[in-house]
Amino acid sequence: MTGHSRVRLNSRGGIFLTLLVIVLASLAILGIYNYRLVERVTLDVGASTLGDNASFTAQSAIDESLAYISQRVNQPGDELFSLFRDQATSSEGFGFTIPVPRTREIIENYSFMDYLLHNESVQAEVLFQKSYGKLPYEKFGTLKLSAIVTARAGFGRRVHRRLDSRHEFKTVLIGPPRPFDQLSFYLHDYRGILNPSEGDQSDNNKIQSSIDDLSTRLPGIRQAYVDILESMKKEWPPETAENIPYDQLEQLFTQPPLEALPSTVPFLFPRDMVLYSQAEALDLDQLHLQKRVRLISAGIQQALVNAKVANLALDACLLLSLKKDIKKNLQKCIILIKPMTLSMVELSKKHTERLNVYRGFQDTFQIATGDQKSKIVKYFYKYKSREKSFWEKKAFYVLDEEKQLDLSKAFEELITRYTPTNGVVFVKNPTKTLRVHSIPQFEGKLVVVTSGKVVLQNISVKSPPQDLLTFISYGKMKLGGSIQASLGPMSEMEIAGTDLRIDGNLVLDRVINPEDLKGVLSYDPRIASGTTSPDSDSNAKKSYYYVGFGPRAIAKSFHRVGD
Amino acid sequence: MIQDSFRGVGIRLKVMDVGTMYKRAMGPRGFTLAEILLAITILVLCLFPVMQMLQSSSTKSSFNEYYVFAHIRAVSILDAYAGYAFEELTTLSLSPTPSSNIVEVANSMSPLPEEYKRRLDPDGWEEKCVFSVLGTDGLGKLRVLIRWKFPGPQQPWREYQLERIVMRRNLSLVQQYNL
Repeated sequence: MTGHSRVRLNSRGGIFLTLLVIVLASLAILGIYNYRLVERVTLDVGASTLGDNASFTAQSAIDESLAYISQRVNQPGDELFSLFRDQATSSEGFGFTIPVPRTREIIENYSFMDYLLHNESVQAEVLFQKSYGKLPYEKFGTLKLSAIVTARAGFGRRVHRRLDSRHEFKTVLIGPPRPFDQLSFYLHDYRGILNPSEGDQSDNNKIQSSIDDLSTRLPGIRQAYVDILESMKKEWPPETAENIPYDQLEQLFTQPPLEALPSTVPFLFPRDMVLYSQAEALDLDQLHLQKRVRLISAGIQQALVNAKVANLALDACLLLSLKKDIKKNLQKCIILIKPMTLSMVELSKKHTERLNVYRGFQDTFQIATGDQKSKIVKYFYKYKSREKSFWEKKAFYVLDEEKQLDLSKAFEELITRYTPTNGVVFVKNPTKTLRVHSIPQFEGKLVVVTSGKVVLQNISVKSPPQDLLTFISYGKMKLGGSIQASLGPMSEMEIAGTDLRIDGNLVLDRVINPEDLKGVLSYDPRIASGTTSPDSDSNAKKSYYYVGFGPRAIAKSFHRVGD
Repeated sequence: MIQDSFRGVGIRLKVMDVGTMYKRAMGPRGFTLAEILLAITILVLCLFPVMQMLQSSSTKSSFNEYYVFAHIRAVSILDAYAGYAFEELTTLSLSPTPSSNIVEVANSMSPLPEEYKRRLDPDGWEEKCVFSVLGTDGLGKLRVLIRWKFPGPQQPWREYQLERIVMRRNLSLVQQYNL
């Protein structure tokens, strides 16, 4: 059986079998090699996509952390709120970590991939911060956010991706520049409204002289009358002598209530001064001091003439009485006392009225001269001479007339779209006019700076505890209606209509047409942002600084870490 | 003979003689059919996993190709939508009146290339991008889900998804607090 079932293999069959074995072995080797190759490629591709996903996850972590930082830096009481508002006395930065729970959720949801976010948080570091100009409380800087994500690629292989993202931040004051936030009104150039006048002082001298004269004369005249009457009483019938109306004489000779001129009232304004006010409320009409005084002065002049005439008439009468028939002329002279005293009363009244105008002015406005003036003017020049680029650097939003067909519409869209609107808006409008009309409920804390003309009318904020609005214009500012904002026309100001009402403050460089200066101003104490010194900000109200981040990262870099 | 065996050629001859003697003793024989069949079976059995590995590699390679393709598409879709403003994302909803804060946004990606489409089931490719607002923190999540299916009733749907958190870019500029 064995012999029949055996197959003989000759040499050719052996070769075939050998070749078959070699081919099969080669196929096996090729197959294994191919498998290993594909495995390797799969792993590499997998690692590559895992790396991409790790980068995506890192990006998610960065976005999430920035969202939290963006909110926390503007939440009073939060640690970041203080850190980003500390005065930047040096360029040294600081660091902190931000947990990112949402990104962690995404990582946990990737069931088919194994990711790990280092420390389950993003490392944040302020690389540097620098103040704008010399203002230590207004600054800008760069925040670096780093997230490291590790993915397990299988066979012990790990893919690490680190994303570094840099973001610009700005910390700006969202009220009127200091120290003008403490003033309800400031007028740098008072010419055209308050002209230093010698005339007022001259009037004062005349009034003072008349008062002094009357004060001296009246008791003397009265005594003379009494003496005359006493001497004549003996010659009169008893019933007549008893009925002499002494009380009427007393009344006639009573000195009218004349006030002495107080030395503190600035009848004569110094030539080198600035005008400011810290009053809670003021009528802009009070600024027309000399116009108002001039009207009263006309009455004073008339009263002075009347007093002089009456005085002369009385003198003449008395002289005549003493020389001629004293009995006959006495009654006539007594009658002449009345016009004189009445003219003095009128003079006194006018004088008091004029004093009250001055007093009202003095109660409302203060003048700064000498060192005080130099100090405040130094701040004003800084305010006024700030270059456009200064505001542009600080601005969170820039509206450019070259890029916006309709500036006014663009501004309206801005405050409608980004509500609440915070920070600084700089409007580059050298030729066009920005018109801000009828904003019934502005929300936010905003400083609007225009390089050109601006027209403001009927603007109010939604919620005074939260919302604050300031307009600064380096072109002409035209105002009308009710405006709840602090205003800083650094060039010219014009008031339209007679119903202007400002709730905020007004910092003026000059008034071109004083006749237009009318309306009422109520100081909004909320605009006061506190004070600082180069070394301390303990008296500063830090909620008046707003921190904003740029909408896009200024730089991003992905790093492969240790794979 | 023994002496000859110590002399060159003689030794070789003697050795050959031993071989011849062995062959003669054993008789003329080869592999039996059973041996050959067994050998071939073993070889085939050995080759089977190898073939399977090749098949698996091919499948894997094909799968990887679509996996990578899906990844690239997902990344492109995410990047495209992440470029939109946060507020605009909700306006991209396929539904004119989205009922919740989760909206499926319109997919503006280019159509699937023919070379990829050809190898799939006729309706074997789906792309979906969903945007959802996460709470009130100014955060949102974009989720791209791509599904594909090869021809054949047994072929499962394979899917690839990618998620990314996006934030309102102007979030820091619109915060409200009391002075």
